[in-house]
Amino acid sequence: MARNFLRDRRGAMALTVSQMFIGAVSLGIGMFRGTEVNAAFHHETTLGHADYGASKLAADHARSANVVVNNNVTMGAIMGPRFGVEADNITMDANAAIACPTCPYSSICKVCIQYKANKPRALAKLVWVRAKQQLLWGTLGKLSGDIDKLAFQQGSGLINGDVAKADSKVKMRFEDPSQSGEIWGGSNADVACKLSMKDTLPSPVTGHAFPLLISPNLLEGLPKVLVQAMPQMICKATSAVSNAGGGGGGGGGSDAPQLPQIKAVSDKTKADCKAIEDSMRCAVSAASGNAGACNDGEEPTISELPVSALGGRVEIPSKAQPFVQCQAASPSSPLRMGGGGYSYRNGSGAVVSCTFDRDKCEDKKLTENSDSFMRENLGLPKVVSNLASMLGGSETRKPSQGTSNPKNFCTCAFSEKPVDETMIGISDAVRTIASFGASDPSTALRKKREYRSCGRWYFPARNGEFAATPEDEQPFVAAWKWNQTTKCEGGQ
Amino acid sequence: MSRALARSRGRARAGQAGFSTVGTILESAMVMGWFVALLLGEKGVSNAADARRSAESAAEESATKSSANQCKPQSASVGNARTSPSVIANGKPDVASAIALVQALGLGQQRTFPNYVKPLQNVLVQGQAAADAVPGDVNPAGKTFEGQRDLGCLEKPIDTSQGSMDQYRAKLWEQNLKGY
Repeated sequence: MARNFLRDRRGAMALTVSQMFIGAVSLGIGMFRGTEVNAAFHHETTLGHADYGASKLAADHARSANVVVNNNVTMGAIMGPRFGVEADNITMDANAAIACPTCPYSSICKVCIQYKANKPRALAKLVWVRAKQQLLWGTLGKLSGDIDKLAFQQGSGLINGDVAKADSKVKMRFEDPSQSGEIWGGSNADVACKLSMKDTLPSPVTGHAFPLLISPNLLEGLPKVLVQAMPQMICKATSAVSNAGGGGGGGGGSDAPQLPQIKAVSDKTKADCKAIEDSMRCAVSAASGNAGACNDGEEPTISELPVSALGGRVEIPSKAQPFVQCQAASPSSPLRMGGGGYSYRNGSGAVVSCTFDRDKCEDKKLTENSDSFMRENLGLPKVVSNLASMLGGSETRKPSQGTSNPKNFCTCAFSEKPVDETMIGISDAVRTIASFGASDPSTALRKKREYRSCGRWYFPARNGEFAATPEDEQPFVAAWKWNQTTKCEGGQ
Repeated sequence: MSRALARSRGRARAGQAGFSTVGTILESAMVMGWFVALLLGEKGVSNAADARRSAESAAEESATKSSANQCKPQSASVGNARTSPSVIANGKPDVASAIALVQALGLGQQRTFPNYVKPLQNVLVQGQAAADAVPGDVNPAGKTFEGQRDLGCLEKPIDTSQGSMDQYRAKLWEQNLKGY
């Protein structure tokens, strides 16, 4: 009886111990699983904070890009009226230069009278538009340079506050391109001025002073030609007038304005070209051995030509070279003698004929002299040495790295939060029990993990409604967007 | 007869090994009880994890959809999770100097002008899910699990592909320069 009782007790004890072991193991499994689930959600929510940071910063930068566009557009929008008012004032001055010398007897003297009466009003408008344009370009251009820094400062502050509200243990940090320099560069004034010109040309702004202030305009069409040329004259935009059409009484179809109606300009043009032609004639005469006998305007005949005293070489002055064409006569290429030709024999005795293209010379010189007249006599700005300064201290902006999707238009947010110590303790205890004390404390749960999320902002150039926007005009179209990405190019 | 004999012998053998009939039943029940408790506990943890997962996933989905829809709140349905997206104004572009200058020239009605003044927006989504019931002491039913997501919103482009310079220029001209 006593033996049976003892056996019963031992068996019950064995079962109880095994139950406790099973219980401990199952409890441990449950807790370990709990720590695993907790760690998974911990990582997910911590990454969620980085996602928020990146999305907010990228969205704010995309808005900043659209603010830069607004600035660029506003700066361009006032440049067009400035072109118009400048052109009107120049045209009025040129009208006066033609009409006033004829007073009081000619019929066009009334133009001079109108000019004297109305010029102050036109000038006041010019002063106003110049001042406003420079103020706008200075203020908005500077803002465009600063806006991304401001957006980052404001955005990162808000993100830190929001994340701290959600979980005070999360630490955030950011890698933002605005911290390391300006992401919007200048050198974009030519495009702004080109767009201003294209916008202004067909508008009522062009030639607005005529006939309001002066009628008739003796230089019909000049305001239009001047507006076309303004990007080159004011903004130093070499490419700005490439698509501009010709037209206008003062222009004769070329891009730059010409003022043949103004006597001073046309006289100087003729004199300039005569001087150039004379210099060529002297060179040919010298080559013919007749140095000094070159200003009489007579063409030497071929029979008089000796072999060149200079070894058959003619040194045409560089300023005449663009207008001179020389041709050596040969059996396969007989001499084509046209009017205005000058001939000499080269070293091998062949006759060389040189012609001076007076039309080409006068066209070029007329443009130069008209430009010079407008700058010196009509108040057009002199040669621009510091464009930004001349335009108001700043310029319109475009991405400093160019293209619609610059590499540095990308920002990253990083979040970090230690795993809860209780969770680590439970995990360690379970591991220790399960391994009968052989397991080391978890390094994986203690490891400092930082989660990254990035956002990129860009111009949607590849497809959709903005696909046809030329790349250089993208900084003038408010369509900048953003998207989220795992890393910025060059990131880890 | 022989069956009763065999049963009696089996009991005797069990008794010799230290097991009583009542004890065997009780101990077996307790072992089974442990397994049942283990299974129910596992089910409880699983239901709780599922609820949390639903809340997190629903919040994530709702936030992403709302952000992509220019901050129009979009709900998401994952498991039995409910989402409550809310749009939050979160800062404005720091452009006071520009606005003053530009508005002084009479501008402000142009298509793209809101870029200066529109508040920046976030969508904040709270996802909530309750766990399913499990019999026993570890029943997670009634406990609510939450997931939260916050994202900046996409903005619909408000310009045309040709830009809006003409609008700004026309107003500038009309307001300040037209006529003499």
